[in-house]
Amino acid sequence: MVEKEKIFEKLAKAIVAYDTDKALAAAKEAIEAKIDPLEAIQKGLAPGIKEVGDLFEKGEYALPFVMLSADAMEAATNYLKGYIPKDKIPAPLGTYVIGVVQGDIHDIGSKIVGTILESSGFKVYHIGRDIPVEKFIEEAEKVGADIIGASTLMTTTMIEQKFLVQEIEKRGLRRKYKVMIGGGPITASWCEEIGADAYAADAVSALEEAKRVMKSKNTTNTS
Amino acid sequence: MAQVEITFQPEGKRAKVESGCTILEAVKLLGVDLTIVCGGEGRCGKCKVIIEDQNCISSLSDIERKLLPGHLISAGYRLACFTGVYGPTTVRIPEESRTGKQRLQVEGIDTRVVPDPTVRKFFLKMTAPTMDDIRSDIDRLLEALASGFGLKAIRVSYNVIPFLPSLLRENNWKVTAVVWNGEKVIAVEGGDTVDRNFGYAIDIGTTKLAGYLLDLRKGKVMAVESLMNPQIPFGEDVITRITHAGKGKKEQGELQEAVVGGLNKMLERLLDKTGVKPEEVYETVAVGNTAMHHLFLNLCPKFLGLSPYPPVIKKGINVKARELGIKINQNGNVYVLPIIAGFVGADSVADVLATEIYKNDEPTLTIDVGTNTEIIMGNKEWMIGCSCASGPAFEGAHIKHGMRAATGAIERVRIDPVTQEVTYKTIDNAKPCGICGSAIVDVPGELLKAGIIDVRGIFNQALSTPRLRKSEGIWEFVIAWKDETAMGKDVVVTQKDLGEIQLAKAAIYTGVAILMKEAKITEADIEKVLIAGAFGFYIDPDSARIIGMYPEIPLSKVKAVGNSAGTGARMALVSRKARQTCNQISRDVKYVELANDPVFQSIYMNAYFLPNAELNKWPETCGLLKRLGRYPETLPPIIQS
Repeated sequence: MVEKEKIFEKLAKAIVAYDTDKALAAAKEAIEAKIDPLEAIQKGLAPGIKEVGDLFEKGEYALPFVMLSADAMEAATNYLKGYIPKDKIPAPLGTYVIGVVQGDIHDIGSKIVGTILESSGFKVYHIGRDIPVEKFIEEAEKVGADIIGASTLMTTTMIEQKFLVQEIEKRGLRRKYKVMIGGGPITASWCEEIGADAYAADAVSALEEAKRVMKSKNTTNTS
Repeated sequence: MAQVEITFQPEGKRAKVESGCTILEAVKLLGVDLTIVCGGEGRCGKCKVIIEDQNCISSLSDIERKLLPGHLISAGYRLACFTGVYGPTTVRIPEESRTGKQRLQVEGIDTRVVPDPTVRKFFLKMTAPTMDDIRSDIDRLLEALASGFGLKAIRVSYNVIPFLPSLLRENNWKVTAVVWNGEKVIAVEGGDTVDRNFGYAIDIGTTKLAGYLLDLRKGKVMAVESLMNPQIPFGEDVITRITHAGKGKKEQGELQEAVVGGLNKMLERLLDKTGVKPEEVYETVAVGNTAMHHLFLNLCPKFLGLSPYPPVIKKGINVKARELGIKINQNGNVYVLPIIAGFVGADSVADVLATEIYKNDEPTLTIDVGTNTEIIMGNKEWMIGCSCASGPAFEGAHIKHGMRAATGAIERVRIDPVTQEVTYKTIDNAKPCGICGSAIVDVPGELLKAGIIDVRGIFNQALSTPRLRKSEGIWEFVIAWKDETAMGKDVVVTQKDLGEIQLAKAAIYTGVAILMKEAKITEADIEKVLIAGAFGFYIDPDSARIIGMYPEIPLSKVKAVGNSAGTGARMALVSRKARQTCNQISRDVKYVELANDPVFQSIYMNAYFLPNAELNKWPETCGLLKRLGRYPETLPPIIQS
């Protein structure tokens, strides 16, 4: 048991140290110690990325570190997933279509969010930048998405997020999709104003929000 | 007591104060520049401030009613000493209520041009009509221009005509014709006024306006003025202003009127200083970034804010001053320089004109540092340019104790690499009340050399110095202790501030790196680095290089050139040839869209580090860090594309 805890800690530390090599080494160690790969992801890697989010919030970690940590997490997750027996692969937490709204081409943030969501159990489709509202919906329809994520870095294009919510409503799909918004100028009050389901200030809290949104989606759908 | 946030514009200072405290108390706490004559007793009425949203402040007092004229009250004016704050409030300090002027660098390098103005004056002597010579007054005037000066096919502005007959006769048929561009008489004046020919050059910055009154015949600057851009209340950065103006005609007009109001105010002061009359100023030349250019010309700027950011017009444009509301001669012309692309504007064209990089054999790099940093690189054979969203950190925004370059701003910071003791200098040697751009550039390099932060820009938390501490969960370093400051509070730099500064400088470096890549050159090929812009003038080139704002090029090749955009505007005002050169520059500079480059992300992320994750490109800085014992044991990760 102690052995196991140590490996979890190593995994977490490697993520915080944005060190892909160390993360892979620790993942290998976990497999050799016959630790359930899924448990290694949930109890090792996940707390690691959570801490990265905390450090980001305190200003100690900036964008490059979050990006590198997300990359390290992706590498270790993929390695560990390879050892999960086919019949034990859990269903994705949800299907997430993410992209940057029309008029904007700044996509670093949305890419990091995508990586973290993917590594944490979501099925993620990153559909690119400068994406029209219709395309967001088309892609979501095509892959059977649960959540549509729309990102923007500029105040001039924030309005596109509103158009997205309106278009979804117009097409009568509002119960089918949850809408999450993010990006530099986005605030909770904008989220409320346009009637989106969730907003996150950074990539790690986007994961928390996505999980929360899925929970509420599942509850409403079963009730 | 509850805390409420108060923001002062245009300095951009913010603070939490106790609910119920007066604006004057907050002004004193923050060291905001505001005239107070009577000491806050409600006698002088000098501490006028403008509060647009009056929801969270005390209601108008009798004293304010007595001291403030009705039209000011309805315009949102209040007295700082008699207004209590109960919720989040933005307070604007109007120009007339300020004491110390913000430091606005308006001088630029002087490039000599041979005066060849568009507006020329011709002294004409005509003969009175007789029975044998019954030509019309206008024909008489035009034929005098043709016979005396060879000027043919000249048109006459309509409003010159109505009172021409009496003018001609009162002056005994001796008048001076003012001809624009060899094609149109825009004014006729009695007697010989050939030696009074003036022009107004303006540089419209996002933050500040610079204005110059010139003698067009001599090409000489007679007076200089500057003013904060009155558009600031509509948003600090260009994107926010574009968003506001994009809402509709009314909003677009508000921004145009605001900037024209400021330009007219500067003009008025220039005229006061020189005794020139407004009708003697016949032309205005304006430069500015593309957003300022559009807003000044009242062009819909909405699509400038949307990818792929197309401008409405690229060519230089002539507009009647009266159509724009510029109060020079009623028939005067306003020429606005051409632009290069959506975010590389007329100011960049003026930069190139003034720095003459298009004449050089070897590549020159010009960096005009601002909220948007424009970079132009090239020589006589090629030029390329880009714009980087460096953000407002260097203007003092988004920095906890950041402020603009005004009295009391810390403008220079030095940290002893051994003792870690801090020394600083403030503008006007006043007590510090914040930290401005040039010192914001100093701080990361100084902290790095002293081992207080590492190359990631993260504080060394194990360090034991009282200056390094944690406040509300966030690490910060004290630059000035509270007993030294004007606001009785420590001036600090926080971990978040460092992140903002590093992202800003990384954006600039990324622009330079991508241009070098496009041009297939390396830093060794760059012959000269010119740091342009008012703010650039005060940056320590060494500090900027240690933090990796630009590649490690020998400092002997780096020069601050001041407001070269203003210089370019003046050159275009006095020389027709310079205007032709502007058109050439606008066509020749190839615009590079940074975000489209596949290596953008990796270059940008690597440039976040101090000076850069690719330390091998900074041999001199690495040598210095090694000598100081600050070279990192663990090398930073290099992000691959």
